[in-house]
Amino acid sequence: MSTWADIHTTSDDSGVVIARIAGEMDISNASGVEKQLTAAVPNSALGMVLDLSDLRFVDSSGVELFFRLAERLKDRRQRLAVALPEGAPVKRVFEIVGFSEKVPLAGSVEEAETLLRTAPG
Amino acid sequence: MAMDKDSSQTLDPPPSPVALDAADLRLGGYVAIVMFAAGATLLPAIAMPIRDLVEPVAVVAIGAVSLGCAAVFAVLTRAGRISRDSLCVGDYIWVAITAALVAASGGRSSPFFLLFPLPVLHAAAFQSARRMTILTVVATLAFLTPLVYDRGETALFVAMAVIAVPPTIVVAWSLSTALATLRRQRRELATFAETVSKLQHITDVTLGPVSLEELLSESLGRIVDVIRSDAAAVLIVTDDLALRASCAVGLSGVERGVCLEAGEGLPGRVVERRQAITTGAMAEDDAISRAFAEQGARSLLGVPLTVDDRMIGVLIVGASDGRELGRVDADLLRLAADRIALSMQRAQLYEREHLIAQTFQRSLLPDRLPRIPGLSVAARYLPAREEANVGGDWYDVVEPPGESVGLVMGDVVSHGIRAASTMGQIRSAIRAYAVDRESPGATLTKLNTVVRGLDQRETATAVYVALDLVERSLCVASAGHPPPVVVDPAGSARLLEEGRSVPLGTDAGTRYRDAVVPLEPGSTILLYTDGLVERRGSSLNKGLERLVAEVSRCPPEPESLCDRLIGALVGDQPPADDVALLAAHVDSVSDQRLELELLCRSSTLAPLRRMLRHWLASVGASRAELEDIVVAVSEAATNAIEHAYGPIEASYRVEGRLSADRVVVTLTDSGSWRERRGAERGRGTHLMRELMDAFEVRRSGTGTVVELERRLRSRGAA
Repeated sequence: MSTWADIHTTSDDSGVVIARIAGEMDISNASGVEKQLTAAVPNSALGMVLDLSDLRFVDSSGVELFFRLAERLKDRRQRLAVALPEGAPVKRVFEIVGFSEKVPLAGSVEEAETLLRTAPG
Repeated sequence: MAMDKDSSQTLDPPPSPVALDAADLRLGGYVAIVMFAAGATLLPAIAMPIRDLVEPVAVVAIGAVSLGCAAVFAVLTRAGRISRDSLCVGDYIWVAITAALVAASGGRSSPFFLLFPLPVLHAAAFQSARRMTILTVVATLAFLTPLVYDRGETALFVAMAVIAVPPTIVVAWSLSTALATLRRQRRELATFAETVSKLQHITDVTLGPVSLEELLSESLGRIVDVIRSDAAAVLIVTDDLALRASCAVGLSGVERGVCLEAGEGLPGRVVERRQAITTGAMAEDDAISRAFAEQGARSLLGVPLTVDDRMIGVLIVGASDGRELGRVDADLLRLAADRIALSMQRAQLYEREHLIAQTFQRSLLPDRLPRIPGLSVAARYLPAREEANVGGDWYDVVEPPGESVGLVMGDVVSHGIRAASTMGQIRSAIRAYAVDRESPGATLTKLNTVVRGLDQRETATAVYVALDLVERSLCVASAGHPPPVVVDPAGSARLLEEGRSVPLGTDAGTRYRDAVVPLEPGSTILLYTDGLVERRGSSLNKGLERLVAEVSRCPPEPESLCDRLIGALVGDQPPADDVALLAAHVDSVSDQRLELELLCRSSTLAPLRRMLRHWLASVGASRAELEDIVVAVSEAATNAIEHAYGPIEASYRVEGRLSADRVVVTLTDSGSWRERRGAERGRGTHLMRELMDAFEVRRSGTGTVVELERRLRSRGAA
């Protein structure tokens, strides 16, 4: 049984795509998740909020994917915010790798959306 | 039905004298009583008008003798001791009394000679033709005695004799013949009824759903009994037209499986000619006939077993000296053989279906249970007695993605192939929902829809217990299944009554709810089917009480728990209904080691993490410590997988141990360690260093060893 991750994306009228990832991410499914996430953001979108509160596990390859995603969105002048509440299982990994230096981390999806809209373009 | 002419000398027994039964004899007795009693009372009345001819003393004496005879016959008849001979004696007494009366009342002119025909008619009704003839001669001679001692009117007397004697003889003969015919017909009817009853006795056994072996041995036993033979055997026609002994009664020499070639011996001839054959056992030289001869059989009878004109076997019976098997036996056996052949075919079909259902059902049970660190699991499946239908009990251990382990037990209500098929569909559905990480309640709710959508109406009970070994809880939902038993670490057992609802397939709208119960390390969970607790004549509640009491006395280790429970509740004999058992024990031993050998494939990472989590939880790691160690070990394992190469599939080993308050995890692979390529280079190593207290990589010619160490606060405090 390989690693299981479930990606659920929604987009609102204002052009913010919210992607909730549940399950686990490692090298066996990182590239698949990356493709799905990339495809979920149309050019017209303002940006993407990643809701990682239900992500059970992530390793360095998963983190790497998020770094790459942030780079790509930045190149397309789109923004990325990550919702990672206190107590989320993967919060410590994101802290150790210093993800917040690149992408704003929020405590909830609503907070992340606000961050996304108000951040300087 | 033609009897074989050249090899058999079938003789029907010669017609025996038409026997009188008890009712005939009684009737004969009553008639004799009436004759003597009437004689005694009528004599004075008839003698009165001809008083001048009669000696009064003689009339009284003869009347007394007659009355005495009536009394004797009354006693004999009442006691049921009347016989043909005593009736015959009575007839001669009557002749003597009549002769005496004639002599005492005027000889040739006496009217009493008219009483002579009575004993002749009585003898015609109740004696054989020979005795009747003799009596007729004696009575006629007695009738003529007045010619000797009396000098009365001769011409008149002779005229009377000519008028009286011939009609008496004619009537007596007619009566005798008519009654003999009636009696013969009655006996034939009785024989026919007996044959039908014997046939019924033989074929009674062919009705129930019995196995082929039982059918044959029971039928043969009855055949031997009914046709008064000594031994019997059935041979079955095999695919290559040989004959294989399938069952024998009263024969020690015939083991199952003795084979005769096509056409060999008496059985072979029966097959070739499709006829019943009688023969002498000594005349035959096949193994079967010899076996009969060795048991003392002299006369053999073989009849074909056919279904729709197709020979399926031969039935042979043998009788020892003094009993010749003949046409009557052959007729009876042919009739029985037809019924037995049909039942044999049905039993063969039934056994085939039984075997298919059984094989199918067994194939749906797990071959072996998964090895799950922190959890010991054992299962047992006891099939019901051979003749019972294949049941729909099943069990399964599912491992959904994530960290729970699912224990499933169920029982489909129907039997046979259909039950096995339903069970297979339900099992697959549960496994599919498990992949989607549906909770037990949600799984059963969806399953209910699946079961209701099956082609044939089915109901099934099921219980699904999801164990979360990391969170130390269990989640249970039950669809009408007997409640699981939970044993706490102290050994006290209770029924898990939470989360119960109606069986699957009963109500379309049922929502099955989850019940979450804490699960302490050291606990044991037992799932079972009703066959374990249901006893005829005892309530289910009693059975459950008994189970809980028994479980409390058993060791918590699943293998011995299962064995002990089966020993106590089922015993050595196969149970009446299928019994399935699934026991799981949450290990509490905190110093246990984790040892895994995994293939160098990325698909092993998720199972590795799950097993690691279970183990870490069982050694007392806190949630945060557990997650840190899992990330670090997963990183190290990813390295091992990425660096594996070579012609054969490589594997890596993971060993975890507890050293005082420290968890030490060692990963060994046969590849050479290097930093990962790409942008994430260094990030994995960075994570391992940050998350663990110590991180060491040792490289050697044969491979790389990564050692990760982390102190557990919880254990340090303890």
